[in-house]
Amino acid sequence: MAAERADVRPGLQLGSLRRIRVRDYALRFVFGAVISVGAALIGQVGGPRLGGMFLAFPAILPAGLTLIQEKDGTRDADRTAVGAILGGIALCAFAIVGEAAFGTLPPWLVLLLALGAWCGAAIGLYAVLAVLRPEACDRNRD
Amino acid sequence: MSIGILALRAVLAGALVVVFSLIGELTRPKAFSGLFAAAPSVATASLAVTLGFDTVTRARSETVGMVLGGIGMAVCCLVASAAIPRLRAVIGSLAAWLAWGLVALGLFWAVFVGGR
Repeated sequence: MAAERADVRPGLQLGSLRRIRVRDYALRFVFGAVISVGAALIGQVGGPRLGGMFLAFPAILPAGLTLIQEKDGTRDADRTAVGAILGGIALCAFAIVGEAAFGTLPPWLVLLLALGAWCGAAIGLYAVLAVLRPEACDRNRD
Repeated sequence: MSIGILALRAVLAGALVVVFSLIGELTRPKAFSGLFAAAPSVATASLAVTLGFDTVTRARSETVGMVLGGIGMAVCCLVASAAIPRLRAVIGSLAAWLAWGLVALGLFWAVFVGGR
């Protein structure tokens, strides 16, 4: 029997909307708010470079993976973590664009370019993963 | 920094975290939706407030530190990927945070403190 071809195409799953728990999102909101304020206060005390480092603090990730593990099981949490590794690497692209372009281009344009760099790097890395390890990106195995 | 600006940062960051989390929830496969677990939500909100109420120079300095935090984030995700499925979620999360702290603070010390 021929092996089933992996379906690695990203897509929407609107049915997930029915499973959303407000409590989970309230928790994520609080984590995001706390780390943002914390980074600002650390920046006031230790300088903007130290504060900026905390803009990439993984406040949400462990909580998110824990919620996924509780709700969908360990395998889904594991596969989500693989994607998060790529997103984390792409975060460096966001910061490098900001570092290179602030002071050169209009600041709001730089923020948009940095977001675009994150999107481009994240999707590009996902595409590479899908080619190298299609089984890790297979929709049929979710 | 005034309480009002801090509150604005908090609300914007929390809202962006929710938006990126919702995008992650609505997309599949899981490896793709996982990208949004490490989205620059807090960074975008915080830099936007810095640009609105502070200087571009400060925003640029924040992104310099963020490069180091981003490297720590990638390592943290690697540790989380290995630890959370194998250990209890709380212990796995603590291990992931510890990994971020060691890498990011170690790099910060090496680049900005020890390298002087």
